[in-house]
Amino acid sequence: MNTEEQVDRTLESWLATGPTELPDRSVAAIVNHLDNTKQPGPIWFPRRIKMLRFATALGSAAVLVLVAVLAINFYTNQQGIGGQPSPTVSPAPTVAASPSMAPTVAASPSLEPTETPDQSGCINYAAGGTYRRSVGTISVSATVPTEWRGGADAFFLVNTSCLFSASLELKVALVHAVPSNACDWRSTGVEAATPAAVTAALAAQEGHETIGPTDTTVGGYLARRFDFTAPADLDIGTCQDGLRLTGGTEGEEFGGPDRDETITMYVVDVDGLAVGVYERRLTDATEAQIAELDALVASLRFEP
Amino acid sequence: MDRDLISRAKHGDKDAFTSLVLRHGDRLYSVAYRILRDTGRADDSVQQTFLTAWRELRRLRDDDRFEAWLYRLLVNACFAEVRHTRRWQPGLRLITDSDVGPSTDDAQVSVALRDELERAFRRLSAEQRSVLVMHHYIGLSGAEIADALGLSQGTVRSRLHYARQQMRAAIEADSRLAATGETA
Repeated sequence: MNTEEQVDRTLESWLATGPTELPDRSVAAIVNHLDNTKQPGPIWFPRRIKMLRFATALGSAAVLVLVAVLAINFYTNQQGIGGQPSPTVSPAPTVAASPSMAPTVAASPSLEPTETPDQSGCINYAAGGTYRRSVGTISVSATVPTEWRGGADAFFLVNTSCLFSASLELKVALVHAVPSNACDWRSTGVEAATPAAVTAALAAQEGHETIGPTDTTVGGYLARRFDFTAPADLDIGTCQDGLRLTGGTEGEEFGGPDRDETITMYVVDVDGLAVGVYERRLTDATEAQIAELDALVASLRFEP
Repeated sequence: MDRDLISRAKHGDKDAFTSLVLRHGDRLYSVAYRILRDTGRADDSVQQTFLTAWRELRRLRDDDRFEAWLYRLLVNACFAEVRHTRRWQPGLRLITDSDVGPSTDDAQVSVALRDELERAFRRLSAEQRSVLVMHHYIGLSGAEIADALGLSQGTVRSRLHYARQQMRAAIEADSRLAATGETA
């Protein structure tokens, strides 16, 4: 089996071959076309008259809003209510479904004081700690072993590099779609809105070996567990974009399993939401590694 | 030095913009070729990229992001080329002298591996090709690719993972053939 470094070297050597200089005729063509390609005027200076009218209208509207807010506050205090919040000051709900939103860092006291991602987009938990990210409307946390790395913009944890396949990986994401065929997932996507629907779709999914579902709990919530492995005769080249277990909003998808991997997936019912918890490990993972991954899952906490 | 050229180009200085084309053209062309695997289409993509850059340059607020912005325009131009072509060229292609290694028995393996990689690469989507080239050819990190293309790092990671999976399968297939003494 080729190591990641050998794959890197082969790819880089292959990509290094080929042309590297833009032909002179192309440069000439670009320069010649500049005369025919207009640069629009600066967008922050539209026609002056319209801008003045707009500014005047905007200013007037702002004054009116300010007067209204002051009036509401004044009369509210007069009536001694105080505790009735105005709809305009209530915080906006976090409704984004994609786990790729920026994490809510400020609110949690359990985060490390400095969480600066490295160049690969990972946060290095050299000393271990609590890792927390928003998954849709749910806050999810886990106790991270030492030397693991966590994604900065989505909930995933790996024991090596964030960019490439790690020997151990944990991901948590909402599940919205399950393809009926993991290899031909582009054309067989099925919407699955509930934990029960997701479970049924996964149980019927083709393209890999499946054990499950079995009943369990994760983070105190009911969950259904699956174990997926690749067929012995898998030719990944026949699957245009590899195998994919689940789909949904970009970033929510989860791929695999590859020939040398085992994926354990939990479909967790968090107050009616289907939350996918994915463990990926190499099939020759040691017992200690499996225990480390299981401990991670056992430490998961969901806060809807 | 780019900042001065960009500033002047924003005010319509064609010479300044031409200097930018000369500075960045080779690299953009290299990337476009490696995504599209066709010199003509790479040429068209780069031309389109620079013309769009000239037209939209005043919308660029942070001049320090010029190169990242160019990459995004280039990748979009490559995607447009793919859509216009509708389907990839067939797997066979003319192997040029620049592709062939030293003239020894190992050259046959080298050529066969390159063909396998070419076939595997052509099965990738344009999106996966782009991140693979930006990482392995230009050397950008996942964060830099995400920033340049306006993607989440999770998406970049996912695309890179699948792309490498495909390419790795091709490399391993070639290794197996080489081990048995067969040729492709």
